[in-house]
Amino acid sequence: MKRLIHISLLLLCASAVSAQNPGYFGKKNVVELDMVGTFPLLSNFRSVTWNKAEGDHIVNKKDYFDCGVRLGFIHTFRRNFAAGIEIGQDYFSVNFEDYYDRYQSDYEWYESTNARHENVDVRALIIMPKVEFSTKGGLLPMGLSHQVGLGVRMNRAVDKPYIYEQAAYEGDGDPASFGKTFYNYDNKAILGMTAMYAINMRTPLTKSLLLSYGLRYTLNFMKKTEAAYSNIPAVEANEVYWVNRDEMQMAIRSRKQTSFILFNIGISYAL
Amino acid sequence: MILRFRIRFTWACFLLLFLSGSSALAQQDFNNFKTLLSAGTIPADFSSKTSEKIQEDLKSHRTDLKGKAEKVFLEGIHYSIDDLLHSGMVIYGDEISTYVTAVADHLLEGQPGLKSQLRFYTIKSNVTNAFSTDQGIIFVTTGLISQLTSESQLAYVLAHEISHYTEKHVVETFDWSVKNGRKDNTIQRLSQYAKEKEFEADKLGMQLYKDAGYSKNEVVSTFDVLMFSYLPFDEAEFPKDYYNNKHIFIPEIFFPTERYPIKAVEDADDSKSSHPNIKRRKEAATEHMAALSGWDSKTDVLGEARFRYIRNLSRFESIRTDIMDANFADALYTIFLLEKEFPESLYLQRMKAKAWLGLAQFRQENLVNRHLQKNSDYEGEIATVHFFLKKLDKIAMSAVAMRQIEDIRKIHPEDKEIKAIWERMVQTLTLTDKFDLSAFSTKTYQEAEQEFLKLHSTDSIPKVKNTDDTEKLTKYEKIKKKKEVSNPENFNAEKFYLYALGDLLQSTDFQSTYMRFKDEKETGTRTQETHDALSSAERAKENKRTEENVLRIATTDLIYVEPTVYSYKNSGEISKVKSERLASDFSAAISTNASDLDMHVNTISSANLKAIGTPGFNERAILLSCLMQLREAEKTATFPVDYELLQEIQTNYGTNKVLFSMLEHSYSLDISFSTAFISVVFYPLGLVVFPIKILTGNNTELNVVVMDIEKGKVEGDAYFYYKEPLTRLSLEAHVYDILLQVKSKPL
Repeated sequence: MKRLIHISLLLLCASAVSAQNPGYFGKKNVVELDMVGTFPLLSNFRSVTWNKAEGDHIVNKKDYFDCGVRLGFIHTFRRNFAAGIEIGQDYFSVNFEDYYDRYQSDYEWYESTNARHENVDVRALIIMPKVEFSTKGGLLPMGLSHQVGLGVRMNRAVDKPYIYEQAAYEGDGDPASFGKTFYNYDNKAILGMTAMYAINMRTPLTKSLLLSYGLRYTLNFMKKTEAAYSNIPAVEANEVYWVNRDEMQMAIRSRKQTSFILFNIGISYAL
Repeated sequence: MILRFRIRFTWACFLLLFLSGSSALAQQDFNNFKTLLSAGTIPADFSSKTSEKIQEDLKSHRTDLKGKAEKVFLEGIHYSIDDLLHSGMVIYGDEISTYVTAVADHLLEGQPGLKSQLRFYTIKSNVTNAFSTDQGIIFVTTGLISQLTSESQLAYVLAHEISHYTEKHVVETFDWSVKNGRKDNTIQRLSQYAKEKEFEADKLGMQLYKDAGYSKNEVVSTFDVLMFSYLPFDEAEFPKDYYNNKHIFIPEIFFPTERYPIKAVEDADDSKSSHPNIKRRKEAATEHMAALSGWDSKTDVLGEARFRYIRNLSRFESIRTDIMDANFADALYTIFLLEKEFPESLYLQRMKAKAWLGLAQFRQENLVNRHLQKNSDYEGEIATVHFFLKKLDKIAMSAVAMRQIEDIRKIHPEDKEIKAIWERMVQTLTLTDKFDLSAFSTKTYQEAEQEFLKLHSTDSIPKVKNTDDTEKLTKYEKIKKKKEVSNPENFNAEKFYLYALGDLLQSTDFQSTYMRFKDEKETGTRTQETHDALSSAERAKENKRTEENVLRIATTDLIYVEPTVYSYKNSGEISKVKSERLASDFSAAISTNASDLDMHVNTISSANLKAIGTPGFNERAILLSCLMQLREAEKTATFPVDYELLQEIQTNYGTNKVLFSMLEHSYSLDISFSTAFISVVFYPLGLVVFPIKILTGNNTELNVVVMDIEKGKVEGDAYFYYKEPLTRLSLEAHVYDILLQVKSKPL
């Protein structure tokens, strides 16, 4: 992480000796604030258990929109080349399968839903150095650009009062009771990498402001863990949790792997 | 409608010129002829915005067309005619336009209402043409005037065009095309329809012509003028010794041994032509003439002297047009014809020098044959000039051109323009492939020939065979001797040009100028060699630097001529309305940014003609013609045809840098059916393909040229390609970038 920032700073310093670099009305630096969004259609195809809160109930309803924000700084080095860094947050949620209870009746085992927990919100902090290219005659930061970036994502489950529902008791045991023991929200952030290609347009609004919009195609990489999903609580930090860190990592991984197209819209301020 | 046309005007092209001049109506001295310029108050036809003209006509419903057809028609005629009016080729208030108006006034003496509706302008073009527009403008080319033999012929042409106007033939033909455009054999039927209109105009025009008292004997000869108008205005034999003098002798082998017959026929196939062939027109005209009675016999109402004067203006003007169009052979033949009447004309000498310089430059760049007739096209006496010029290789062309220009300079040693041409010619010598001054002889052709003949005469054979000295020479010395032009044995008539610069070889002025340009060239060659010796990475860096310097000319003073703008609709047609708006935005951006960047930019634009008036209109035309000449020459630094006038502009504005630009914009999704089909079937692919296509659909190309009008060459030339929507602000940002570069010093 530190290395990435260091590289970015070096790139910025290099601008002092840049060659042809007209900028936007002579302004070569851009601060931009973008909203990113995506329709997680593929995730919806893959998953059947979306537990969303609706009032104090959990309903099976899919996520149709994930969003995030980005704050970026771009410096144009040449008329058709720029580099910068963006920092942002993505908001999405991950779902876990329902918890089942097994019981025996007439010498046969049956399963029934014991409990289900609301999707867990995840907040991902993204830091991504990126470069921009445009056509030969381009005039960055204005106009169409192709952006390529590689950054880190720090995913952290959001600690909030989730709701969960217990099923009617049909077996011999007690119904699952999650409470604070569903996941250890104090766990360290789960790291991942994001590679991005974006096609972006900045259209002038004033001599300083530009409207920025475009599409981002991303590939998200996270380490695969050994942990298979289990409905058996695990012990972490001397506490028993239903979902351990590895399971959370796999859930996030699964979710982000199927989210690869985002659109963005925002404002760029040239200075 | 056009009386006769061979070449369609390309509205899109940058064209020719003219200038101001309150004294333009003073009689020209042909010995010091100046190109014709507009004079008087600028007419509304030139200064009003096209969109305003369209709106005005739409409001008044000037045509009988309805709805969309009316709009399409009015946009079509106004934009195309305004393009022509602003091309730099059209002049108003000049002596020719005034004369044409006077002839028309005589034709319309009894019709003041009609007279007040019509305006007459001159097009500087060597195409023989006249045409009227639905707006009431009648254009006449200098090419037409230069070919006529009497005022009455002009009167008949004008009467024909006036009839087209009174009968509303332009709008009728448009209406016919709209109603019949998609049927079978449209071209043939349109051709038939148009020919009927021509016959009608011939007939009605004849009535007008007769009523004005002109002679019926001149009608049929007018058609002869039209038929042979592709030939020069005279068919005088070009003498094979025309260029010979004490310094140069061109052997007869460089000239054709045959005469080339005139091929034009009266009964040409006119099945797809807009005009009937000459035979049919003559027959119809003869029939109409016989049906009319009470003919008068005037050939000149305004006087023969005035007609001849006006015709000479056109003929002098045609030389300039030929040089601009790089038709140097045609220019030389016209000069040959006019020199007989005007042997003292400085203008003719200057133009001759420019023509020869152009020939040498174009030959060096292998461009000259484009502008010389093909052997199969040789026709008439002018073919002699084309034949001769075609026979000259690069060195021969440069040497002959140098000779001609030197001779002109000797006649006019004090003339700055001729001196400047001479210098450019010396420079051209140094740039000519394999040109080696040491290969030239100080002897004249005749002296060398005499020595050769003496050597080979019977009496002299024993003397020549005195080979004692020769036998002592080494192999290499013998080879050198064989190549020496001073060796009488090496005389070759085909190398006549090696004896054409004898006096120059002994001139210190020539030698020092030649060495100066040669040093410049060698410095350039060394720089190139140094560049070639660089590693590929260093070369790439150097190339990059060169690329970045293309517009960096470190100037804060500029003359700016409005851009040529084409904004294309999805159908590929040009949206004239949007193009006009973009041109206006571009000019506004130049003005705003120049102020922000502390630059002094003088705008000469068709959009502000009301403000800059006739002087500005003329200056703009001169600058456009300079650009047009440059385009014809591609890489060659041609000598500006309007050298003196450009010097005046430079003095007026305090800068020699002129910014020209051309902007093209289109939006196209460019999604083929197969792409769309695959993207829909493989749904995720569509998510990638369609947004990219939508975002990248804009295509903008911007060409910028900064010309040094003093040197007559391009100082900076850049091309930009953008993929963004073209808004007022984005245009302004690009203009800022361009001006910033122009202001910056090279890296």
